[in-house]
This record gives sequence, C-alpha cells and structure tokens, in this order.
Amino acid sequence: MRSRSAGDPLPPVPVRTATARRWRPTFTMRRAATLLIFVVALALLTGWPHLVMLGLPLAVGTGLAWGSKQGQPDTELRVEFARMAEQSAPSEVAMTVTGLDRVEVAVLGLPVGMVRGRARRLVLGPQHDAETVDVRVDTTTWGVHEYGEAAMRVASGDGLFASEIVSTRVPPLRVLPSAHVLSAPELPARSAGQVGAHRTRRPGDGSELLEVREFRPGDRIRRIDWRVSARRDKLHVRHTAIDADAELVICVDPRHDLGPDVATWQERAADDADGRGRTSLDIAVSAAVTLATTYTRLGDRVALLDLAVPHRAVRPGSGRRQLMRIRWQLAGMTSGGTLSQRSFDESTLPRGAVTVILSAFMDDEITELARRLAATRRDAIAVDVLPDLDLPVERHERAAARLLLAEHDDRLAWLTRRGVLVTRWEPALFSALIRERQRSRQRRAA
Amino acid sequence: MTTDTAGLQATDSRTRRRAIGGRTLRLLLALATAGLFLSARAPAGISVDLVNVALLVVMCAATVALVATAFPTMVGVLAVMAAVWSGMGFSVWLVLTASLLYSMHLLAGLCEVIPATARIERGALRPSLIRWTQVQLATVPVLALLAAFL
Repeated sequence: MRSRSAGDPLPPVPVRTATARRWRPTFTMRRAATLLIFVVALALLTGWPHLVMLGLPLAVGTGLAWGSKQGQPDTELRVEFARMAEQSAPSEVAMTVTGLDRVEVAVLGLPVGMVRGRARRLVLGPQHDAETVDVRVDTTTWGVHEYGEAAMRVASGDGLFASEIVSTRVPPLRVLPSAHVLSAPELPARSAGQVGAHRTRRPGDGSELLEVREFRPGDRIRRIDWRVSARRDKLHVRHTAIDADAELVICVDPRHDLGPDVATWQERAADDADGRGRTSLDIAVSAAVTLATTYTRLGDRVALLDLAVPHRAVRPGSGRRQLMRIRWQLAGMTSGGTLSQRSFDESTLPRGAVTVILSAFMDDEITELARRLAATRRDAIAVDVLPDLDLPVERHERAAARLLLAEHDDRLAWLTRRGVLVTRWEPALFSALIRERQRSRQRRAA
Repeated sequence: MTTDTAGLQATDSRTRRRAIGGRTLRLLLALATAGLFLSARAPAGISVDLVNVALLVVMCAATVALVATAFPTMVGVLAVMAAVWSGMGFSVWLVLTASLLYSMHLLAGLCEVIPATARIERGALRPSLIRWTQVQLATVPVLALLAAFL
C-alpha cells in the first residue's frame, strides 16, 4: 500500500489482481496472412511475378514480428488501493504490472479519473520486468465514490498477438467527511453513568474530592487520608464524588438533500452533485461529524442514528475508533428513503442522553418524531440544516418557495412550544444553546 | 454528497513522461492509407476530382474507425488490385506501394491494440519502430535494385 489514511480500521493492503495468460489471434495476423496469399495468388493468376514484390516488406516484417514472440504471456496486473480517504486529502491507487518480459506493449485502463465517462488509458513500453503506475486521487467531496475497473491488455509482434482484456473491479472509495472541533460546553452528565470525565455531586468511587472527615466505623481503610490524619492526630477519610459520563445521540434525517437553489429541489440528489452547492445533507453530515469529534474528544459517549435507514446506526461509545465508526457510517449516507418508525426506549436512546436531530424539517413526520422524543423527557435539540436559500426569480415559483419556508418555520416554532430546543446549524449558536441549557438546569437544581 | 466519480480527480505518476496520443497513431494510419492508394493508382495517373478525393477520405476514415475489424484487410486487397489495374510494373511506385502496404498494416496492427484515447509512452513504440526500420533497410534497396534493372 502506498498511502493510507490515518486511523484506517480496515485490514491492510486491499489488493485486486488480473492476469493475462494467453495470446489470441488478432485481425492483424489474419490480415498479414490474407494479403500475402492474395498477392501471391494474384501474381500467379496474372502472370506478373513482380506483384509478389508488393508483399515483400509485409512478409519480412511479419516474419520478424512472429520471431519476436517469446511464448505465452504471464502478465499480472496488481491494483493496490485505499478503501477510505479523508476529504480533501489525496489518496493513491498503485497499479503494478509484472511479467512484462514477454510483451512489447501493455495497455492499462486506469480505474480512476473517469473523465466524462471515459476511462484514461496508458500504454506502457516495458523496459523492466515490472512497471508501476501510481495514480493520485484527489477527493473533494465526502461520500462513496466508484473507482471503476482497472483493465489491461498486452500485445506483442506489432499487434500480431494480443491477450484478451483482463480487468478487475476496484471497490469504491469511501471519503470520510472532514472533522472539525467545536468549542462547545460540556454536556450534562448522565445520572446512570458510573465512569467518565464529568463531575457529579453523588458520593461514591470517583476522582473528584467531596470532603475530608473523621473516620467512622464502616469506612474503608484505603480511603484514609494519612497526611491529614497525621496532622490532626485523628483518622480522617477522603470522600469523593462519582465520575459520570455524558451521552450524545446524533440522529440524522437524510431524506431530503436540498441545495441552496430552490429551483433544483425537484432534481434527484445524484444529478449534478457538484453543481448544487452545499446541500442540507452536506450540512447535516458536517454538523454530525463536528459534534461527534468534539464530544468524543471530551471523553463522552456518542451514538449515531440514521432516521431513514434503521441498520445504519452506531451504538454509543467513546474514543477515536468510535469516531472513525461514526464517520464511516456518515460517509455512506445517501439521500432518500422514508422515516423509520422507531420507538425511543432505553436500548435505543439511553435516559439522560442528549439527542440532536439534524434535519431540514421539510415535513411533519420529522416534527412529530422530535415531539415524541421530547415527550419522553429526554434532552432533545432540533438542528435545522437547511442551507441559506436562493429564491427563484419567477414570481409563482418564488411564492411557492416562500410558502414552503413558512411551513418549515411553523414546524420549528411548533417544536419550540413543545419544549424542544431549536437552532440553525451554526457552531456558535449551538454552543450558546448548550450553555444556556446548562445554566437553566443549574438554576433549577439550585 | 455523491455516490459516483464526480468527486475524484486523478493524475498518474507518468503524466510527465514524453508520450504521444492514440489519435496521432490513427492520423499516421490515415496518411499511410491515403499514400498507399495514391501510389497504387499513380502509374495510371491520378485525377484530382471531388469524387476521388471523397472516396479516398471515406476510405481513410473507415480504416481508422474500423481498425479492429477486417476492413483494413479489405483496404489492402483493394490497394493491390488498384496496383494491378493501373498496370504497375517494376518501378519506383511499386517500391513505394510495397513499403506503404507494410506501413499501413503495421499501424493498423498497433491501432487495433491501442485505443484512440490512450496516452502512449514513447518506449512502447520502440520495438515496432525498430522492426519497421529493419524491414525498410532490408527490402527497399532490393526492390529499388530490381526496379532499376528489370
């Protein structure tokens, strides 16, 4: 493997191979035979022996080309590739052709760089037994990108002999969305948590000191603070508070992939993906990866739910591998589908977890889902990922777009009235919202 | 967000090597085909009229377009028959026609294997170029001598 993305959890060195083992007759060989026979026959028929001379260079050339052949080919095309890459970071595909000692020309079909639907082809003039072509792949957008097929055909003797086209399909490249870190405040600790980076006021085994007091029967010996006990001539014990974790559940609604231009909303997501600007799904994925990065770095447990594809979910966990799992799943998200009817119980959504719903809120189903979530008395934050819109120029289209936006705003207002925190996806706004939530919780607790 | 190739831009490590395009090879094939027909018809005289030129252009274009078929073989056969019809004897035209027949055959053979969109490293054509030179050096003087003395 030439290059690998940092933290790649996949087995190393994915490789595909294809081998050319037999020469096949070509039209060139048939042409040489046909022309030579024809010239000789014509010379005999017409009685013009000099016509044979027309085929002299052809006969000599064919003889030389035939003589240059060295047995059957045994040429292997070996493709090494990355299955995962970071957004905007280059990845590399290495194509190595071995067994070139018996061929004169090797035609390679590169698996990437599909320019207007036509694969690039490179013809090598083998100077060594093996040749390597490194293809640098620049990834600009996250998602699953098809590499296409790597193909090879070898030939010898001026095209008299050529192998069949051998090819191998290279699995798609998954480009992980780039991760940013948010300067966000801590999430509220879960009451059921027993380990983690968050402080609580509950006494128990933890790292945060609650008090130092005199030893009483029943206190553990290992809790004695010997330094304080020596200073005060009486046994004293240290009492600590339990450490707790916080949990964040990121729910992404990928059904609508809406670009800034309202006129393109009727188009399918795959159509002209590059020319639509930053869509709502781009923003949702970017927000999800930012939240996941931020809170896994703080030591919190983060989970991911795809609201349209039930099996695309990452169970709560923490650490770098968890972040990689989440980014892997996010990279595979595609728009479309229907909202799955899920119940929010303890197995899918632990009590005390903060739930963030990333959606464009373009229908009532998602609003209802958010309302049901808030009704379970869990912390729910609805994050609107609709991009800044360019309204159509046409008057009637403009009116229709305004109507859609008014409905969208109504839904968010309705959610606010039912106790769901609502915000647009702006990192600063989101941080402020969490801070405000923390303050209000502290005020209530006081 | 995409599930296609739109987000990939690729460059290979050999882009800086000196290379020619597959289309250049096809242009040479078209020129060789045109030269073959002109030299085959030359002893009888060549009339430059629109029909002849159009026929020649169509023939060259078809040879290039249908290079991986039996069409170039048919073109070779037609060229030989044209030489017979034009009453070609031992002359400089025979030397030229024989040389161009082989050149057309060799170029068609390479074009059959190498796609038009390919980038051809110069080393890839070296064995064929060496063989073509050897054939010309070996046959053209012999043919020229025969043409001079017979």
